[in-house]
Amino acid sequence: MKWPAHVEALQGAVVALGARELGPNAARWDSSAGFEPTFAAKVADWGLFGVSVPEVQGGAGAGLLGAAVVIEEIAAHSGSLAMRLALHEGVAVGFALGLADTSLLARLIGNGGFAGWVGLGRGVTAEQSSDRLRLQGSVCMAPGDGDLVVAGHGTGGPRVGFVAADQLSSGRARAACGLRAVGWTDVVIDADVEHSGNAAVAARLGARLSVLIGAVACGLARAAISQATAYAQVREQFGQSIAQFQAIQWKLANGATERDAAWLLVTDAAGRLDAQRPAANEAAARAQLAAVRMSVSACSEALQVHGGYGYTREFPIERLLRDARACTAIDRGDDDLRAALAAAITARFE
Amino acid sequence: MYDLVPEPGELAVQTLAQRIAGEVLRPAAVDLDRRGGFPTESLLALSRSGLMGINVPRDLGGLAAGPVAYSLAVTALAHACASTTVALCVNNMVAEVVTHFGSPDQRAAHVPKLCDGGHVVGAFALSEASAGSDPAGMRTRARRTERGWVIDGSKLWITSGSDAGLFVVWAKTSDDPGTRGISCFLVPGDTPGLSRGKPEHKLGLCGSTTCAIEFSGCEVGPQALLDDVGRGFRVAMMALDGGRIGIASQAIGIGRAATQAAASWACERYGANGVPQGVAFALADSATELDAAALLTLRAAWLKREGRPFSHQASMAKLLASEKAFAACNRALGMMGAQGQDCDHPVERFFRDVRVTMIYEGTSEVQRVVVSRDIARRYDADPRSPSELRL
Ligand SMILES: Cc1cc2nc3c(=O)[nH]c(=O)nc-3n(C[C@H](O)[C@H](O)[C@H](O)COP(=O)(O)OP(=O)(O)OC[C@H]3O[C@@H](n4cnc5c(N)ncnc54)[C@H](O)[C@@H]3O)c2cc1C
Repeated sequence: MKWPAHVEALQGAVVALGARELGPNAARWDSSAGFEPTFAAKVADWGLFGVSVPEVQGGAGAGLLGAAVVIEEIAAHSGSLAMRLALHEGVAVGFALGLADTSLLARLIGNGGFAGWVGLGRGVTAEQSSDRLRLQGSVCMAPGDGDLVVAGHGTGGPRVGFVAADQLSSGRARAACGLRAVGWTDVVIDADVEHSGNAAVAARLGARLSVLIGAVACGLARAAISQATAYAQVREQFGQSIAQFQAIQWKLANGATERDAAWLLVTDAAGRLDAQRPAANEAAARAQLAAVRMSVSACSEALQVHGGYGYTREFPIERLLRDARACTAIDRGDDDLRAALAAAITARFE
Repeated sequence: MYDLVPEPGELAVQTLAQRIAGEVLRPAAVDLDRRGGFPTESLLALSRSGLMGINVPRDLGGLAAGPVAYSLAVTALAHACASTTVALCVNNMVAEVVTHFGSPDQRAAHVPKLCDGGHVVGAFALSEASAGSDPAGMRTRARRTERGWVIDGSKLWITSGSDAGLFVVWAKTSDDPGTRGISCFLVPGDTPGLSRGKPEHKLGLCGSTTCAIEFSGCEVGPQALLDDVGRGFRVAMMALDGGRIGIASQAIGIGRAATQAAASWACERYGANGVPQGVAFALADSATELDAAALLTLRAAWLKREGRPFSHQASMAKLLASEKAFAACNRALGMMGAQGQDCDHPVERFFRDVRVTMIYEGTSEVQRVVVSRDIARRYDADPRSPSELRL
């Protein structure tokens, strides 16, 4: 696909970075269920925070489309890092951009570490007083263990606020099936926050995150399909390469087609959000729904192409499958996405 | 016609398996999965119960309960712990192979020890690094000597390879092309020249060891040869036909466990009468597909019990059961969101464990090869009425 020149340049840089810094470490981050403490600073140095932020505000100026391209590329190496960036860029950076809060933006683009997200439906209450938002709740398995953007329900409807890490008490770290290095933690939230947004803000952040979760899912699937394609060329059974069996060819053909279709949905939704075009939130929900389902299936089929080797940790394919499956656990699940889509479709019809 | 209603003796074995699953396997499953290793204690309990030789004659230490009982028992055990169950499945398969193809001396020497834990467990050493779906491509060789045989080569992915006391090993004994030059040997685990590799790190079945096994000048006596020289491939294929009933049953057990866990999660979250259709219908699909797979599996087991051909029916059962069980675990995990990802919840283990059932003892594609060949054979036999592909 042809991107604007600056997005293409970013993508090229990330390709090189992925091969050099991410690919070789991804299995270790997965098995140790986290990144080194200094890692977020490195990520900031690489310029991976604030990709969607306009250059005048200190970012890369690539919009959400640029962020999706970067995150898709990173996911092909490390699903966990890609998802941390999706949370950071999609939600926290999106929140600061929405408020035009320059000091918060500076913290998020600079050395403030990764920020995570607790979405609606996780049982947090949000009560707005005249100048402050009080967020309260205890959340099991929150993705992210630093600053958090937290959404909750209150008497005035959904609200969302930024909670700094020192306002949170983190409970125990949780071992997860996939996206293990995301830093899954139980958190107790009891904070008064100054900056907050309403239901529309929560929906916009949800849409940004949907696009970027879709990008993660597409990157995982692309990696899985390319690895399966390469493996199928060299693996021989019954005196021929398994790539010559139609059963294998069809898996690769279906995987590649469905992955490209999902990626088109993701980039379309990113473009709509960047341009603030109508139905952008709906497009984002559609992209996430299609991409995550596609990714689980593509990774599972790619694992199948690897036979017994695919089931072992000797090959990255089993991690890709776990990571793809975990994409549904980050924010809105399939049922929420379908409900949102159905509501949007019905509203249009009426 | 099939009579798929299990007999009282078969149901009694199922009840026994359910009891051991609840008392021994389930309480140990989480820890076993986390720390990895080999389920020695649980397998000892299974040996004491007779379940290590379900379809083995009583005079050799088995339960003589037949393949239907075997299928029901495996489903019950896999519902609790798939890792322990796969070791039991392979052990049962090895015990049946020796019972079926062994000489009276071979049977007496090994089958009772496979049933009572004397061998710890048996292992089935067919696959190699470059010969999985196509075992005829194996490179391991056995050379005849004055004192018996010397085996050289290496096997890969051998279940229970770390602890097994007896290995059934396939090796080429001549340069005959294809499958004709393959023979089969019984090799005790302490035979000099046999060495065990480190267990593989895997996606799932973390409480079952999967190892490379090296044979380097591994000398065995003439009594190690199972069946005749050059007949090993037939032994392997017959063993796998029965084995596939076991893996189908294992998949159904795991799939049902995941579906039940997801159903209790849904009822707790929404109230038993308030589960929305998006979730409730997904559970209905899983339950329906797993029941269909269980019926196919029972049909294959019943045919085996009646001494009738069951090869392609076993392949159909394994194909459907493994794919539908994976779909059921995938749905369960998908609907539960973050909670499903939590390693404290068993559903993520079921998802990781079930994935291998589409790979071992013949991948799904290999099962499709078996079933489609059978369809072609029937068409060939009666091309005038191909729609009469009676099952
Ligand atoms: C946990 C685990 C335990 C195991 N335990 C044992 C054991 O105890 N003993 C033992 O001997 N082996 C064991 N195995 C090995 C297992 O049986 C093999 O992995 C399996 O048979 C597949 O072989 P392969 O891995 O070489 O895949 P390959 O044969 O290389 O297959 C790769 C891909 O090609 C496809 N393919 C191959 N041939 C065809 C064809 N003709 N048409 C269409 N597609 C085709 C396959 O379906 C697969 O998708 C175990 C494996 C695992 C993962």
